[in-house]
Amino acid sequence: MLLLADQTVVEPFGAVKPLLFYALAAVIVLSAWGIVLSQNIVRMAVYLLLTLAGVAGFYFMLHAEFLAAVQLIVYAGGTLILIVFGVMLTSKNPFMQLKTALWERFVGVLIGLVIFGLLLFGLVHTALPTGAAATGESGGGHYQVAAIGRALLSDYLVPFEVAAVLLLVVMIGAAFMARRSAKQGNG
Amino acid sequence: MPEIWLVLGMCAVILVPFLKRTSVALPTGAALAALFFALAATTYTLVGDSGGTAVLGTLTIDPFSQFVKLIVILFAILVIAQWIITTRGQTAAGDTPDFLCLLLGAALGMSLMSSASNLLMIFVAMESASYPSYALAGFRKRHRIGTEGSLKYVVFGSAASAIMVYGMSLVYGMTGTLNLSDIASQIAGLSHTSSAVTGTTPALAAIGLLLIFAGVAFKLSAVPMHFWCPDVFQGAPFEVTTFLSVASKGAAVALLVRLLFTLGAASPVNSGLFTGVGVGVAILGAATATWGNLVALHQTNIKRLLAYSSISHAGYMIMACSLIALAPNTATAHTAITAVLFYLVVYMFMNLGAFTVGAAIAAQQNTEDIREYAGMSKRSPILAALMTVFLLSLFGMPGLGGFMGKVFLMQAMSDAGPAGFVLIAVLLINTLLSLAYYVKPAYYMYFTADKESRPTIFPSPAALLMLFVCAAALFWTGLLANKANSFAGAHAVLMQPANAAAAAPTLINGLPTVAVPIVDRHD
Repeated sequence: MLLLADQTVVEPFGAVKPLLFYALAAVIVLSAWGIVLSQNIVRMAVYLLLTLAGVAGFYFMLHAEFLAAVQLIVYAGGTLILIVFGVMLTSKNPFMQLKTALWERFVGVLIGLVIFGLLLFGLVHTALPTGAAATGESGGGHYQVAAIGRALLSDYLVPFEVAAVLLLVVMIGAAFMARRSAKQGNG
Repeated sequence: MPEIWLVLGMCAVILVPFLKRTSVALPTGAALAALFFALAATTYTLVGDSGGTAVLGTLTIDPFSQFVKLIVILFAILVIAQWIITTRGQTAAGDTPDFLCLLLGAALGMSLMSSASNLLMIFVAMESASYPSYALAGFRKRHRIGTEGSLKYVVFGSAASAIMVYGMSLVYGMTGTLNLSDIASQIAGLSHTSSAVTGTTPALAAIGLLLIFAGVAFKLSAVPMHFWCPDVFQGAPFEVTTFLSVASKGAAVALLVRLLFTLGAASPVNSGLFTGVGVGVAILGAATATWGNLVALHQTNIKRLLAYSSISHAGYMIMACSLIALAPNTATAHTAITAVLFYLVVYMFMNLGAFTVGAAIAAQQNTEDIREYAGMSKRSPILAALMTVFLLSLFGMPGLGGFMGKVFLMQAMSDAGPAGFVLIAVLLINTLLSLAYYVKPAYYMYFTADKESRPTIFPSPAALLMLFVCAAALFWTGLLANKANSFAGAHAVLMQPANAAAAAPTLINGLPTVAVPIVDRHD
């Protein structure tokens, strides 16, 4: 909200922007509540889709088009399909109810409140950057993707390569876990 | 760059089965060869360089990182040796390449953790240390406790990573850079450059730092985030437990040292935030050590007992790390880093020895319960004696490496003023507490008669050799500690972040690159 208070930036969404912001925020918050309160895992997945899509909408509003696209493809697309497939392949009954004990809810609410309080404290006590710098609009535009690509293959080459190796290792680990186990000793 | 050898080794290990399907010797040989090459590469840079260089602004190669890599890679070799000697019979031949590949992958992540000096690199390195560990923890697929431990590890680990990456996003948002030394100087408020966030109070950045430390605390199994440790250690096979207990924690300690050191190098002396971080880390360490020791008191499974023992040892090292922030000058910080490195070396041999004895007993008697060790002094006097040596070193018996490790920790603490004396008191009380459970296995071995005619255990000559080497290393570090300590001291040198500022990466989203003048804390 603090970001939006500043109107010096030329806004492509114009006067609709605050309205859009509150609409997206409502979608995100309500569907997040839906994830927590629902007991059906497939419904949770659908609520999660709404939350993630809403966050992608924020990224669009902040001119982070690449990030928004990645968010939609990887999270809203990939991860959710994984969840649904996971449920389909592992659960005998896809409409299984997830029950939580009372103390678990209590601990969960407590932890949530602590984190909420911490972040609220931080938000209140921090002067957030405003203006053009806040949205990173110093000549990004449609060259954004090119800049990210260049950064990944120059400054961030090492993490990029390590991530590739990591994916290889993860694949081997997953293949090992999923494989029908060979004859083992007493282990 | 030893990492390149590790990657090559991984490739070799997974390609070898195409040549000969069920060979055990081939992949093992390939893995060991790669590790030896990596070890040689590390040793070479260890001798050659003393200043430190930044690789592409994301990795820092300095004597400290090379020393930690030396420990990690040497330990990977020792763990493979331990596996060959004691528990290889329990691993199916077809699973050997997977085991070795995951082990090498974890070692790769851990050695990168010791050099990472960029938030993105830290995250990627921690993940590549974690994911192979998750799979290794569940390596015994039919073992119920192992599977449960592995699942817990994955769930806790993912949550911890999520917390950490959220913290990183906050820090990045507030400072506009991923480079650790730039972040440090921005948070310290020393630089008021053209950056987007001049003159902000760093409350959100401090919360971000807190969350990053929480992620590191998970890898260290520090107290509020230690629940995975005993379950994983109990469920994993012996060689994996041994590897995780030292290499994983060592790498996390190294990361903690680098975080604190880089933060400290940019902070003015007695800066409020930095002192706060130091106090927080000290409390974390004290709580970890105390809680680990208290819970260890009533463990009867040797792996769980050593798991809680490893939690408390991590606590001691965290306490020493806090001195980097609490110390009045850089000399004390250097003493503290030296003490941590020395402790890590000693801890490696103590744990390797204790777990190897446990594995040798488990391989022949099929038990992990220390009450089943009854009469071991008659059934296998050598094993009983060696186990006692390792346990006494873990406790801190004078003459053994563990004692000198604690002495050096206390020496560093005593330089740090009143806060240091509180830490010394905590360390001493904890050492006394730990005696109560370290003597338990020894008590069963020496003072309990074997009434059920348990089998006599004959350790293989190779196992005995390995145990004797560990014991010799402990006596050597215990009796000739100064030599080893000066060796560690020569490598307790982290690169001053001033060099890294030149290589500050350009920002992705088009913010101006922050060129930060860094003020070193040379007192």
